[in-house]
Amino acid sequence: MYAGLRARTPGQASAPNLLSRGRWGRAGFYNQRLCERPGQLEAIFDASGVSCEILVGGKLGVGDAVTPAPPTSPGQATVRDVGTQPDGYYVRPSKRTAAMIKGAGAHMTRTLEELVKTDPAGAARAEAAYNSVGLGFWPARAWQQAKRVWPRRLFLRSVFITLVVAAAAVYFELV
Amino acid sequence: MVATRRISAPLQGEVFALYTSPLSAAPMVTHTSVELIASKGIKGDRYANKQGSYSALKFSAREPGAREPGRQLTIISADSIDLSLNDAGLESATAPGKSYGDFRRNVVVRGISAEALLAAQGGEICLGPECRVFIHRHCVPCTPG
Repeated sequence: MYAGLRARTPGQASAPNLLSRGRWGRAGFYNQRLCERPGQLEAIFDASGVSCEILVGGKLGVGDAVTPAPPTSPGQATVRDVGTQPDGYYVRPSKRTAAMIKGAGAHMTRTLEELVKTDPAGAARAEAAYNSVGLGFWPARAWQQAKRVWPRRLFLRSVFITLVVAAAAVYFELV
Repeated sequence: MVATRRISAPLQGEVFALYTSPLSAAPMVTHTSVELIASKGIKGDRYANKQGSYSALKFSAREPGAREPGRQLTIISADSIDLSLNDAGLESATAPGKSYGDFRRNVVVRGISAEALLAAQGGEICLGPECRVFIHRHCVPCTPG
């Protein structure tokens, strides 16, 4: 996950304590770079918010109250989903171990290999977002590999579709 | 070190600001009101449209092969952001040219600490008179995954 981050322009990253940990230590610099606030990642790690599922929709406005739902509400029985992120995802970057970082890199590489087959545009979108602040989303080697495989897959797919269409045309012509 | 621990407010506060972004990495747009769509996201937001930076990732533990349900909406505490930035000697979110939207979360609340939000993980909360959301997990600062 975070292990995929790499600074495109060394020296731009701004937290020396993280930089000293090597390229994997640059996790989370996306928002820090976006905000141009060196040190922000470590400062706000515990204050970075929560991820939610919308159970009941409707209008929400500034000034509206935020309160706990009653314990008897059916939504309280929702099964919590913390995702399948690798070990260390919820650990602040400065506390992540080498094993966590290595595991995260392997996890991201596997994820990218799968996405190249199923959602290459989604993989490219993530990379482009991080590129916009001079970072990379995917492990560099895996991304280079994906970019080589991707056009080949598109070519083979279009050849396959052409053959199927041609075969169907011949078949219906004969029938 | 964790500035947010100084706030011991319960989960009782109000919506301070609302943000969406139509596309991955596009600037956040501020709103006075938004429409929440159950099981989807905020109308017009990149995650409701499956155009977020992380929309391609299907890391649900509850439903393998699906997107995490927690991607639908994010909440952040303005109080804790203020304290954390101040404690670290960093520029405030209210400084000229800065905004709570810079953190790329949808709902900014006041009167509720980050600690209270994290303590509410695994529970349901009411947003305004109409909406209900379930807090699945900590939304760590933007990192791949």
